[in-house]
Amino acid sequence: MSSFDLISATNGTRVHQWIPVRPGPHTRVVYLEDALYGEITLGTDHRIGGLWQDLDNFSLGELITVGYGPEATCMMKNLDPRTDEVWEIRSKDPKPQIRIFGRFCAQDVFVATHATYRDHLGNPWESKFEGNHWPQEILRCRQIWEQLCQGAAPHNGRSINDYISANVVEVGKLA
Amino acid sequence: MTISPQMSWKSASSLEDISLDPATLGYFHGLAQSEAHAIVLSLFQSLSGDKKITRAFIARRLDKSPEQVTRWLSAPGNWTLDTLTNLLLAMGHRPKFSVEKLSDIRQSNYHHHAVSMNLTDALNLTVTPKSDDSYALSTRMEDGPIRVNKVEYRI
Repeated sequence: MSSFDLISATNGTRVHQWIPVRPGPHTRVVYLEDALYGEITLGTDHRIGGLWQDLDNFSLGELITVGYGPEATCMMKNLDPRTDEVWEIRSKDPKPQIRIFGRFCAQDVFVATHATYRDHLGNPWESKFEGNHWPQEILRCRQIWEQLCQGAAPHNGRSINDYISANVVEVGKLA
Repeated sequence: MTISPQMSWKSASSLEDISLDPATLGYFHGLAQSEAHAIVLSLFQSLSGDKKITRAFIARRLDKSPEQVTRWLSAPGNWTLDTLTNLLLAMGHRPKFSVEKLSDIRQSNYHHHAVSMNLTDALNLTVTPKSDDSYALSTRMEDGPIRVNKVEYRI
């Protein structure tokens, strides 16, 4: 079974599909891990509203900017090492910033495993022993993925359009 | 009070005389930022094809660093109306605003094949609780008021 089949089969139990807040063409899909779904949907503050909008922005096929490695500003990032296929959705406004970690299980289908505040992640240029917590969160993402997908590999591709079929801009290729 | 994301949209479009909850406001603030950013980035993409409009060009026009222009184009980040106006102006355009009534926005029938659709939303159906409670009265087994349950259909 592919990771897409496994994730689809557990919708409503271990993962929950994000239903966009506003109407529109639901051209991409976000699945949220059960605990994360609870945290996100039970929130009532201004910050959580901004996060709902970021999930809608992806789900409704809106313009997404994608970055890699040292590219600091973008809406979605493929984290290093890219072979791990771990991505983050960057919810930057309003403060505090939130990072949602996850992997693609098919083209245009993102599985969010967990989230954390940006402030908790430390400095990405430091070593993991000096306050860089990204490697820890990447590992956590892989562990949750393992529980959800039982060894099935995440979706991978050679170009950005293998992950997001349309309406995507690579920050590193801006003129 | 707990409010679900979908309730948030309904409360905003209902025009009820109650205060909008913070999550709804946060959602629409983010949406405005995101749409402004998408307009600017799409324009930049369409104009940069002939290589005349570049990040460096905009930086020179606005007397800013190219890195700042890259940050503006890469993600919506606390933009003001001045930021929007400046970026459009640097590309020979100006912002033009329009408004849209929330209740006029309809569900699209274009969906990714993995989408598990909510039938009521997809068909724009409103399912109201049954007002005739005679059947419930004839079969009730407990004392106290009869609760009218909200009905939700899913496929």
